[in-house]
Amino acid sequence: MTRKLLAVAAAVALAAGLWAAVVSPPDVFQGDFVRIMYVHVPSAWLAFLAFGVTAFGGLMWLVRKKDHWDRLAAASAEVGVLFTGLALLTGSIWGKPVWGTYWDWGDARMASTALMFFVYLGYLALRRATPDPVTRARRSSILGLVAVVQVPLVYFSVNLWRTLHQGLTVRPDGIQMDGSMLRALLVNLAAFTLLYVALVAERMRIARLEAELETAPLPAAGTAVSSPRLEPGT
Amino acid sequence: VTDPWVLASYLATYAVIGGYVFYLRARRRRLTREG
Repeated sequence: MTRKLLAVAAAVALAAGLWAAVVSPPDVFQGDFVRIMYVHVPSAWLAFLAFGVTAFGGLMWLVRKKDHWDRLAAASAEVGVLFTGLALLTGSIWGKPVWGTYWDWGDARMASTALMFFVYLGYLALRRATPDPVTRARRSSILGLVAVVQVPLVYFSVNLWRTLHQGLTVRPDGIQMDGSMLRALLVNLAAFTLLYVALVAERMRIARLEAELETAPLPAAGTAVSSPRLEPGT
Repeated sequence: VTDPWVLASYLATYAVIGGYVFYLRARRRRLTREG
């Protein structure tokens, strides 16, 4: 029931986010292209949050050894990869009309985000390649804790290496954005956060079902095979 | 808002999210049947 409510809330919030993006004003320099920000930035922020949760889940598994922490870490990593992919995709679409190119390997933000994407794909591949649940949880917990170092590196890459991508908009000394645009961004950020929670909850449920199937005892031969029933007179 | 770049970015976003939601639903239904 909670999962259904979450899904409905996420869908309504996404619709509200779409409406907020449509009614927000165009940018003085970028015109309508700025509207791509309302899906690009929340995707990137949710990817950071997702990988932070993966590291936290991994740490908690190493401390407590409870399966649900491993399921949380894995679910969050998978959804994080989805959001990173979205950030890369929408960023490339935004880059073409504004910078004149879909991609530039020389750009620190693009290259570091792509690297983070591949590292977390590796995290998911590692899980698939490790059949034993305890070994899988231990290995992926350690990788999740190491890989999360990339999150601050990706976030501050625009300040550490001034390349093509613009600098930080949300800074300690203030937010460099008009109030109406900020409102639209916050509505979409809330919608994407709800979506993240709904997707992780569903992915964790699937992981629990998979674990139950893995540990379920196989039916005995006597219960699986029944003898043919002969009718009288045959 | 009819700019093709903006439309492409929103269509791509919702298509990817929708695809993942369908994938999760199909996976859960298959597991529920097997269980």
